[in-house]
Formats: sequence, C-alpha cells, structure tokens
Amino acid sequence: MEGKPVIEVKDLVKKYKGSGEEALRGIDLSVREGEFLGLLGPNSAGKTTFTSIVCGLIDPTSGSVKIFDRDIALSLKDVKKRIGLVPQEIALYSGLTVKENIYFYGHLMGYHGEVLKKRADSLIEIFNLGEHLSKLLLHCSGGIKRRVNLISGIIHDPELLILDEPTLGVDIQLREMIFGHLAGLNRKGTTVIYTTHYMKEAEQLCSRVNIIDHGVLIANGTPASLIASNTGCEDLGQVFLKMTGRDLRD
Amino acid sequence: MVRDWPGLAILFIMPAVLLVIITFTQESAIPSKRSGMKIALVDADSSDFGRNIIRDLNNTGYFNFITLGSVTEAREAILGGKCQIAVIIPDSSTEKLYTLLKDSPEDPSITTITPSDDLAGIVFLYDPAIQKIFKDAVIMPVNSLIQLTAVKVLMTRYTEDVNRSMKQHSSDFSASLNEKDIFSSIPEFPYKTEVIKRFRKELKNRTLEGSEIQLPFSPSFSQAIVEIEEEPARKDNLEFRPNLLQNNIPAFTLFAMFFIVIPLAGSIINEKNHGTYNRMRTLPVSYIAVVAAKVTLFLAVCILQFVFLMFIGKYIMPLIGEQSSLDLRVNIAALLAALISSSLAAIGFGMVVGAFANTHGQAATFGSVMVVILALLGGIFVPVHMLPDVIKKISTVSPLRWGTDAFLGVFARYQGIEGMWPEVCLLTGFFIVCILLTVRMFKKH
Repeated sequence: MEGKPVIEVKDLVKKYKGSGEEALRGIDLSVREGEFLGLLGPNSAGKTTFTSIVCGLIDPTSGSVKIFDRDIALSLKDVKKRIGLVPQEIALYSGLTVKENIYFYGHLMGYHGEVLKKRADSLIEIFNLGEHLSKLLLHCSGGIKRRVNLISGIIHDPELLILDEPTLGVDIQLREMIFGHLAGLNRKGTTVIYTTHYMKEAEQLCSRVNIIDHGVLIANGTPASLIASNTGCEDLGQVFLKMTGRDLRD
Repeated sequence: MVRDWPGLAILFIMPAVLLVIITFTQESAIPSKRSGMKIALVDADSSDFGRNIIRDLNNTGYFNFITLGSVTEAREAILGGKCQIAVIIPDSSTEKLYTLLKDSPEDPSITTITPSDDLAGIVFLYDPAIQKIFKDAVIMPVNSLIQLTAVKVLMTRYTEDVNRSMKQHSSDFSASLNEKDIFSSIPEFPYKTEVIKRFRKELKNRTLEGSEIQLPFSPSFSQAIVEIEEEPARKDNLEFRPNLLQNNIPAFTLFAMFFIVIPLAGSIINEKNHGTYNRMRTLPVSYIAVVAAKVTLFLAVCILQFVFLMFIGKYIMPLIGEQSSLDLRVNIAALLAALISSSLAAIGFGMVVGAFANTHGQAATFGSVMVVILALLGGIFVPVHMLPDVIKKISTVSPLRWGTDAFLGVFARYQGIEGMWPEVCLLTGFFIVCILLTVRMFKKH
C-alpha cells in the first residue's frame, strides 16, 4: 500500500457499560493517505462505534488508535481540526437558514471573514444552493438538508473525511452529484472513510473495502479482489451476503 | 408507561408536591399563628395603654409575638429577618391617651372625652420587602385591635371618673335620673352615644346609691382615635418608601427569568436529538467554549428581559393607572450582582434540565412545574416568612428564594452589595453545580 498511514488501529475493543457483548472485538485496521475506504457491515456490526472512536466521540475500552500518526487519546484537539464528519442524521440547526448553518460550522472550524466566505461560496455553488441560502432549514426539502449537511462536514477541507451513509434517502440526481464531489475530493488527496448499506455505491466509489461483522473485521481488500476471491459472487452485494449470512440483525 | 420514569414523576410526584406546597401557601396567605409571620412588640410606655395592647394582642391567638426592649432592637430584628413587623408603643402613650379626658366646663367633677387629631402615635415598623397586601393583612387587624384597646383603656378611666362623679352627686343623680337625662349635660365626645346607651342599660332598675357602675365593655367602635404611623425599617436614613412595584416587578421578573428553562432546555434537547451536539464534539471546540457560548447568549436574553420588565414598571405601569412607578434609585453594583447571579442560576437550571430530559415535553413540563414550585418556595407569591416552618426550611434551597431576597434587597430595602453576598454566592454556586452536572451528563451521553 502507498501513502502515509492516516488511521492505524490496533486491537481495538469497545464494550459499552451494561452491555453483555463487545461492540468491537480486537479490530486491527489501517487507512492510508488518499484511500477511499468503504466500511461495510450489517446493522449492529460495529461501524458506528468504530467511526465514533475515530472521531473522538467515545473512548475505546482497550487498544490503540493513531490518526495522522498521533495517539488520539493524547492529541484529540489537533486531530479534530483535520477530520471532517458527515453524520447520517441531519446534524444542523433547523432554526437557522441554510447560509447560517454553513457559516456556523465554518466559524467553529476556525474560518472567518473573506476566507470563510470564499470557501462557503464555492461549496454553495458546487451544490447549487444559491437560491436557498435565506431559507430556514426547517422549511427546506430533504435534498437541500443533505447537501447542507455534507457542506458542513467539508467546509474546512479536511484531510480525513468520514461519511456515515451520506446518501440515505436522496434521489439519484443528488446521489450522483455527491459521488462526483467525493471522488473529486479524493483525487485531490482527501482520505475518505465511507460507511454505507448500498453495496453498489461502495463498489463504484471505494478503492478498498472493509467488512465488519459482530465487532470483527472479516474482510479487507479492493472490491474487485473480494469479488474474485469469493467463488460464485458476481458483485460486492453477493460477497457481503456470503460473508455475513442472511440472518436478520438487530 | 411504567418504564417512563420522568413521565410518571410529572404525573404523580410533581402534582403531589404542588398540592402540598400550594395548600400550605394558601393557608399562609392569611396571617395566623401557624404562619411564620412574627411581630415584635416594643413597649416604651410601660403603662396602662402599652400593657393592654400587649395583653390584647397576645390574647388574639393570631400571630407570633416577640417582645423587644427598644426601637433599635426592633429595627435590627427586622433587618436580620427575625421578625417582619414591629409595633412600637412610644413613651408616655397612656399619658397622651388620657389627655383626651377633659374636665367638663359645666361641672368640673365630671370628666369628658374630647376628640383630638394628634394622639399617642403608635408606629408600625415594617420590613420594606414585605408585599403591601401582606403588610396590610397584618397591620389592619392589629391597628383595629389597638384602636379598641385605646377606647377600652379610655373608657375604663372614664367610667371610673363618672363613678366618682356620681358618688359625689349621688343624691342629685338619683333624684334626677327619672326626671332628667344627666348625660345630656356631658359634652360631646366620640363615643358618647355608645357610652350613654350602655350606662342606661346598666342603670335600669338599679339603685345607685353606694354602688359603682361596672361598664360591660365590649366596644364595637370603628372610629380610630390613635394615630398610627407606618415606617419602613432601614439601616440608613433614606427617604425612599417602597411602593407595590418595588416588590412585584423584581419578584416576577425573577420568576419570568427562570422560565428560560423552556427555550434553553429545548435547544439542548434539539442538539442532542438532531446530532448537532455530537457533531460539535467532533469539532475542535472545547466543552467550555460551547457552554460559555450558550451561557453568554442566554445571559443576554435574561438581561434584555429584565430591562424590558423594568421599562414596563417605570414607564408603562403609570400610564395604565398605577399610581406609582418603579423607583430605580437603587445601588447599581447591587443590582448588577443580583441580576447576573440570578440570570446565571436560571441558565444553569435550564441547562441541567436540558441535559437530563430526553424530550421537549419532559423538559417543558418538568421545567415549568419546577419553576412554579421553586417560586412558591421562594416567596414570589407569598412571602417566605409567612410560610410554615417546615416549608420555610425547605425554601432555603430554592434558588428563587435567593434571587428574591437579592432583588428585594436591591429594590425594596435599597441595600448595597455588601448586604447580599450570601445570596449572590448561593446563586453563583448553584450555577456552577448545574454546569458541572450538565458537562458530566454530556460526557456520559
């Protein structure tokens, strides 16, 4: 693999208080600079727990997490400046307008004045939000909210971008727009971790795929290599079903 | 539903608490021995009038009386919160009262009562922080009782004089009783008609010679004969007299301030439920910065709300018929200390409710009912000193009580900051505890 390591996780374990099972059971995982990693897994597999630890939202029970070669436990604040998170839910303020939401997150990332305006204007144009800027988010459609949600996670041009099902419930046009922009960011050097339940998306976008199930990393490779190594599978969806089974999850 | 503990608490525990507190509070709204209202008695007269006032007041069975030695002691007791009203019976009150008894010019041996506008001034010294309605509820019956006592003392002496006179004129008096109304020779005095009526009743079918008339006295006069003065107790000699607005505006401003719990807790719940809080935590922003931003914003809201309500008290109330306006000649440092510490306490309360509540419904219901409970305990509706002792003890942990005390110190007692440090420290301490709980809850979340 090429590029410097962006994320290095060793023997990562997470057990929630009051829970009988470990959510993560000794995960070893590495992400290199410029990679577009698809993090796949059924419900309750441990994907959200993993991304939450990487973003500093929760502490691991044991194991080590290094981001940009720095221990996350020791230099979280510095690391946070270089990470962008686009959560699955619309994590925005419904009482603010589209523009106010974008500027709010820009300010929190330390951008002000002309620099912020330039960055915001550029993303507003890319995502075609110009005519919706003064609308209260409360009154915006799901598609506009999704776009603002994405912009708020990338306004500071992060080196590592973590996306948790960013295309949930969006139409095909917007999906294509989002894919295009993410691919562009990745080409410019942004490392991306992308969690999704849409196998086609992962196959189309990701340079590498990790499949987690029951808190364990069960597959690691490019989509093509995973398909090739699983006899009888013609796409990533079939590989996924073969590896995780057809039983319903919580 | 049995798993919805907050919902069950709102449905069962909070109404029970409200029921108990409101019942006690309503009972306490009428001054009585059970209510905590204490009245100090200072008898500088130490003669008939003073002794009778104290005896009659104690015999009423209402109020809790304490006897003090001087006006200075009474003032200190009021300022120290040991009592709320003091009845000062000045030196020579009896003597002054008896000046109403004059010798009749027609017959020097008969004493008469002559009305006077300037008689035996009794002083009610009161805590300026008491709302007028509650002050009047105490002062009016005590005033009536003092008037009755004065009449009684006066009539007792008058009766003695009349008896003495009748003994001297017993022969003339007996002879003239059926022929001539001896009382017509007595000059006019305030209760002459009543006295004559009673004497007539007593004299009927009775041989006067050698016996004394006992006046069966149970007066029901309404005319005041003793002048009563009301004076706020203060350390300094400020001439300001608190009006109704000096009590009501600050108290209800504080009450309104604590309702910030609804928007503030609502915003926190939104952040928790919509993921903005978690997103914020992934940004290079510290907890302290997030909390400080919220506190600053809502502090500004509280201050604006305060200014708005002060404006109404100062300029709008007189326009809509209130006779007085809010007097803002207060100590500015004390005002700022009370305002900021109370606002912080209200904000802290809102934040902790927002941190613990899961839904808007929980926060709004719990928050608003708690504010009403804390306000009842805090003396917003009924002064704390009128509450029963048990409730009064509980009220010492209500931030609204600390806030009310601080604001009343500023607006009703015209205090400086030196007199309100305990309240300011308690309010600020409450804010700090709430913020620590909020941060702890967020970290846990």
